[in-house]
Amino acid sequence: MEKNGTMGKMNTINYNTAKDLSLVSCEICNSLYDINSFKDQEKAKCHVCGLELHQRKPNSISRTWALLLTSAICYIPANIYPVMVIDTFGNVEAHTIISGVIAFIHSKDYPLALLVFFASIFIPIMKMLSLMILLISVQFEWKWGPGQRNTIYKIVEFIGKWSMVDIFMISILMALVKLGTIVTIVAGKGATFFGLVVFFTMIAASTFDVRLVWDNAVIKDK
Amino acid sequence: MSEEKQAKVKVSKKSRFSPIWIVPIIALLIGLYLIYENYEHKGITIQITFDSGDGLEVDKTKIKYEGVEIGHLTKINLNRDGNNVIVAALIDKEASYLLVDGTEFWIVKPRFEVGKISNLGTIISGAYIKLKPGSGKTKTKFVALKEPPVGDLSLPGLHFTLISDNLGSLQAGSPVYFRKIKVGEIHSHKLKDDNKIYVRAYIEPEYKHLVTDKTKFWNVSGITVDAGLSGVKIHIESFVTIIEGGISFDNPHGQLGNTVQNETIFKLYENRSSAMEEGGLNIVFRVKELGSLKPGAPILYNELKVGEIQDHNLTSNDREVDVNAYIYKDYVHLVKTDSRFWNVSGIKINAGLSGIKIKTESIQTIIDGGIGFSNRWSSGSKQTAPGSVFKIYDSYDSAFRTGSLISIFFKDSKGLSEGSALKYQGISVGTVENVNISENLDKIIVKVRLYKGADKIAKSGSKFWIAEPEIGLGGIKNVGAIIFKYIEVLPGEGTESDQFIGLEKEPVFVNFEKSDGQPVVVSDEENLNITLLSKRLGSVNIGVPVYYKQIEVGKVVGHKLADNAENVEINLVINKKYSALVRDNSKFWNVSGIGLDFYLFGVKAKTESLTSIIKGGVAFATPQKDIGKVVSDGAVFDLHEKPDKKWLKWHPNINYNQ
Repeated sequence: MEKNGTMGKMNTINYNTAKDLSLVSCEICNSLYDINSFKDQEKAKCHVCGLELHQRKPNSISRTWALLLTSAICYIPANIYPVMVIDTFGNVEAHTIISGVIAFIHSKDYPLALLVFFASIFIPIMKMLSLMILLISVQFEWKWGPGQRNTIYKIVEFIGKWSMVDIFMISILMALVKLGTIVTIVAGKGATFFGLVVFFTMIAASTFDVRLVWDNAVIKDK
Repeated sequence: MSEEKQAKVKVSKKSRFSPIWIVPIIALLIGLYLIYENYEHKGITIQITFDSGDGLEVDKTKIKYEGVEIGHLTKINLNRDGNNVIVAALIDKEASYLLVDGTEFWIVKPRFEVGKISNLGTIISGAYIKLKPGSGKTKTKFVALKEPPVGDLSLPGLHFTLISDNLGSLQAGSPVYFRKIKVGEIHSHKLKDDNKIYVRAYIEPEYKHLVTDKTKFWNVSGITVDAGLSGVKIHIESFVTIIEGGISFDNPHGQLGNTVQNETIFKLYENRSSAMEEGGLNIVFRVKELGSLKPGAPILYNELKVGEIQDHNLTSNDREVDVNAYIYKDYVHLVKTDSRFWNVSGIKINAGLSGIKIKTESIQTIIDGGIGFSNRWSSGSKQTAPGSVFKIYDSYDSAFRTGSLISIFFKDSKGLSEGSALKYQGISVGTVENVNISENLDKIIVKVRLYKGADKIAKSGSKFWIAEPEIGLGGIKNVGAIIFKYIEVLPGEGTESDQFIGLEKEPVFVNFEKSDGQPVVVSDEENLNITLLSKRLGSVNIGVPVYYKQIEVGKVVGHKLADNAENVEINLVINKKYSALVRDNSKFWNVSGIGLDFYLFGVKAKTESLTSIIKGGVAFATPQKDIGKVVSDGAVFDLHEKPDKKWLKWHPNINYNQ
């Protein structure tokens, strides 16, 4: 389990991870413990704040897969069902995400089309694909560019919150446009599923332990 | 130690099933449920063939049953073979029971309803497809109806048919009113083989009892304008009916008859009055020319509208026109077998001594024409049978001109024409029927039809002349003749005759105030006829008065150059009442113009009368002391230029009234 000068080719500095040194830190109060000092390592708890201590997020890969799969499942109805139903004088128009983008393109609102396309189609897909690549890379212990994969993860985490733009837009429109028989906007089933997609990808991103990328990369290298 | 631990960990990892997998499982289950639900709701695709795809749109056109959306169009295809349109529609599974043999589909086009602005949605969303379920086996291929089916009999209420010649602006959905309350509507209309329009109407159940076997329906579409002397009435049933049309109904006299069953057939009348006036009399007028007799033109009795003209058509031999008229129920008894009808269309101008009368029956008759009738001269009291044929006279006068035809010969027609009147004392007693030139071109033959009862005028000795207007300070005469020439007559007392020679000029009347007011003609032998001799005629014209002490006692009736051309002979007629005033030594002088006497202190104007200034005149005086003998007809006197002063002082005492 020792790693000495493993990164020598790229980096002359020798380093050890906390795991290498059998250390575990509390994620909240940052108290440092020797993992071997606990009898049952699985149930180790911080003496200061009482949080369970883990060297790596438990079941990270499995959980992330499950959540990623959930969001992928949700993504299908999110695109099939309309996200927004506009009722103008009894003339009901139901828009799915894609038909909304197309409608914006037809009405030459290119910036809006672009925004919706990025926020509701491109980003969720990219997020899910990125997480999938990360998961596969960890599972199959790829050694390929841990730095790049780290960057991907950071982008996924950062961008995650912005994919709710579409949902926010619909919520605001629904609240604003309530003119009875004249115009009414109602969120469709798709919106719910789309919200779930965003929700689950966000959780999936947070359950993924990016440190595994490095663990594997180092082990493989060894 | 560490290996042991590692092994432990690995084992535990493998054996552990993370509860987080429940989340995707749930998601998957939801997804599967959605697929199932979608399949369940996917519905059935059916095919409907339409004549025209007008108004149909993929995805937007709904299929509705009882106002509930049960599906929508998914595809529209042209069918080259049948020259029609085949559409595919997706019908909800729950509504699949409607898709059976006999189910009828039709397009409901959006309609702007004036009465209510609801269903705004349909105006914008366009047409939809409606269906009426049948009751056969399930099927998926249908042929749509060309037009909405006849009203749904399953609706409670009364369904019936109205037959009309004219649709007006009625359309499906037009309201049916009872005293301006909407109680039903029109479902459909159809032109059938008999060229009549069959209108399907529906009355709501709560008003069903108002329709009875006596009920009359009439069209209230559009605007009705009634123009009459009493004013112009614009009648609109309701704003809706201007655009949508509508039907109104009522029961005559408000009495309900027997209730009726569905499918009863009623007649749809043109308007309320014709609807409520059933039971009147239909008569026919046969005319040569239609003139301005339009349908709806009134038939007037004493200027009261008692009927109207309904329509007109050529007679079977195409020579005349039959005008069908309808007399209202209440007035049927007025039409007798010998009633006379005349045309009151347009404006009648009757110019006479009393002035000009412009006469029209009513404003409506100017435009629409009209027929007047009267039972004057009607002897019998036999009522007319329906369908009787009557003649229409040109005017009231001609309607009653049935007297004899007389001929009058004139040298000059002076503007007489057909229709010119023959008047006696200002009253029309006949009408000129035609004016012709005799064969040898030396005279004009005027044929005059006397009115019934005016035959007494045609006696030998009757004098006819063409009235000419005369305007002077002394009076204006025959103003009527300025515009319309007419013939005047002075009846004679001889035997009956029908050939007369017209006078060239109006004969001079000497209005001698006979007790009966009858004018007496010059030739009356009882009056005194004398002759004056004058060097010049001066302004002594025919008709100028003869004065005695400024009282008119006679008239100048003629003048001519004496046979020896030395003098002018002026014929006077002196009223027999005053004939005793003329003595053999009477002096006559001309009073024409103004006599001016010059005095030291001014000028004294003297004239016999104002009229004599213009018209001239003759005055005479009889000596006071030595009253001469009474003269007889034919006595001759000199006419002096001016009176001797002493003549004016003669004031003989003559008891002329003996």
